[in-house]
Amino acid sequence: MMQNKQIITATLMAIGLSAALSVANAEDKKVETEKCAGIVKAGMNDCGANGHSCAGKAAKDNDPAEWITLPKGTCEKITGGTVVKE
Amino acid sequence: MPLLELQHSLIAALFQRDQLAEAAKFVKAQGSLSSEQRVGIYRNSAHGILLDYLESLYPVCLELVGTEFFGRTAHSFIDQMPPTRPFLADYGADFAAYLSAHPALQEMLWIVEVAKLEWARHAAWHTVNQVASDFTQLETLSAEQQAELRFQLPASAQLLSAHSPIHSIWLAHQDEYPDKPQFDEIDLEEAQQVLIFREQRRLHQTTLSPDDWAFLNAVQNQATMADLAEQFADQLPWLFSVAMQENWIYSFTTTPDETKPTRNS
Repeated sequence: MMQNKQIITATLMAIGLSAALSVANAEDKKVETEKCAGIVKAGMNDCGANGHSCAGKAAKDNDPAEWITLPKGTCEKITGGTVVKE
Repeated sequence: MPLLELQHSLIAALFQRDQLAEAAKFVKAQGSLSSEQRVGIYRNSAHGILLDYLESLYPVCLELVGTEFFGRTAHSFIDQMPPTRPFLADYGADFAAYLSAHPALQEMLWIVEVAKLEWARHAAWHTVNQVASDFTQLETLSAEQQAELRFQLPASAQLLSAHSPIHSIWLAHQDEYPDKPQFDEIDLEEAQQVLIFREQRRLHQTTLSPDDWAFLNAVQNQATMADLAEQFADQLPWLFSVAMQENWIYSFTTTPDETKPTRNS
């Protein structure tokens, strides 16, 4: 049985190792994104449009002015999806 | 009639059927519709919207109890606990508690636990994402600071401990999972601990081992690193490793956070 001090040291090492691994994974996984409009379910939008201020306030499904962020190249494959120009 | 009184009268009519006649006193009849029927249109409209919303919030419960029972129960819930805030997503938290008092469900309280899970999913989804801590900074802390460390789950994290297999029941009612369990084969007596949290645009829902649940519960209740070492002894490095890899732990603080409410189910 380890003493508390040893447990804390071992735990911090485990955390440090996991953190380093997840940073490495995140760098591998970085993907380019695009804003895709016209396909969002009501209340599931990413950001403000249509006179409202924040995410999650789209009032109806598939509103052409509401968008969500998707991996680049996905939007054109979705029926009704339009890429929003930045 | 003062506007405020008129508004209160209309709100009362929307959520109390026996108040229709009172509100109808301020409304003219037209064509074949009596004044009471015309106020009733508003009542039906408000109830219809809220029923649609509750059905979208509790789809598994809806399947479990059937449209008729759900509709009847939801209508009486709407009357007894109408919305009190102007943001629809805040409404419906009390539905599980309301179901738990229903005489017909006393032998099937697992349905109530499924309702709690469905609300937890909704609540997690509507929580704002937060910035993760840089855990590599931990090595710069002194031994005293390390002992006083506290950790945080994602702000969206919902820890549920149920007497029934809520995760399996929920999964059995999802169309898009090919390997989902068959509902008839689920042992309704099996207890399950579940974690739900949101990560960017994804909602995660997973069962936890009793050890992982106890650990995350202690973290959520703001146990310090010293407390955790005391409670979990040499299991702690492993528990942290799993939690970090699964992104269950998002940030840390070096000073006690008295303002953070504990969330426990």
